[in-house]
Amino acid sequence: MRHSTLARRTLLAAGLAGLVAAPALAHHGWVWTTDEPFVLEGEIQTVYLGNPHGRVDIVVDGDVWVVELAPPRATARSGFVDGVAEQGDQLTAYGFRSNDASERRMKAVRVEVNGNTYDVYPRRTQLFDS
Amino acid sequence: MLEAIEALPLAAFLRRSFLAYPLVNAAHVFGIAFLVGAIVLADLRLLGRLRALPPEAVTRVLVPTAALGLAVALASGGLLFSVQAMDYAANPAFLAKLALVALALANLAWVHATGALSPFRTTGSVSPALRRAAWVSLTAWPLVVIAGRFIGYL
Repeated sequence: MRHSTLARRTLLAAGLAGLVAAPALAHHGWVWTTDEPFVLEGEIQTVYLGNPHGRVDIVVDGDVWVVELAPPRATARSGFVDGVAEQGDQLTAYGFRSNDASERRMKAVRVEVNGNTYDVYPRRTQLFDS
Repeated sequence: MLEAIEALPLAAFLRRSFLAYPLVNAAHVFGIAFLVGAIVLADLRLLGRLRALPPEAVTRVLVPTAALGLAVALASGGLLFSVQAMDYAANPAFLAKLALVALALANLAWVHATGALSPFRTTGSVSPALRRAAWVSLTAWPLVVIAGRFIGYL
């Protein structure tokens, strides 16, 4: 009897922990972003091409925006590797911005820099292909 | 200091590796699984639940298992931190996690320094202070995991 009560309580606790953690599950997917296509252009401040995922910080009208890319291997597969983008280059990012409108952060599916296009999430670029 | 950590060759290697980074990540999960799995059972036993577990199973099996898990989690966690030390050091969830780990480790250190487990091992008796420590542990370690999961999302 005692054990079944404990098991039930443990399940309940696990469920509650799951609820608390639920918003977090969004991040590695796309739930933390809006569904509205979003395009942003700015000057590159820093480029990071590493784990857990790449990112480019760009300056737009004096504000620093974080443009999140794919994990290293997928980002490299798109052709976006060391040297293709440097500090000071103009970059255009296509993707989806954070649900939190106060946050200057977006997840890019495609970036353009120095005349080249890099589809870091090639299966998610349809909205920008027209 | 943080910059020096990021500049470590091992950090640079992990930053660009395809295999090693997820493997270290997996090691962190294994470490936490052993640590939290064992310590939650031990805490519940100290709090009078899970009477099927003899005290010796707690002190001779669960405590060493948790210690092994802790060692693996700390080592792998340090490696993961080194990859983007400056970002993590500025991350509120990471800082909360560190504070909770510090609390849980202080609690652990107190239990072992006072030898509060000895009477439990021999007679099964749990002092009120050891009971409190079990509650602290049972609360702190799961919160460490939850804070840790939030790191990537802030």
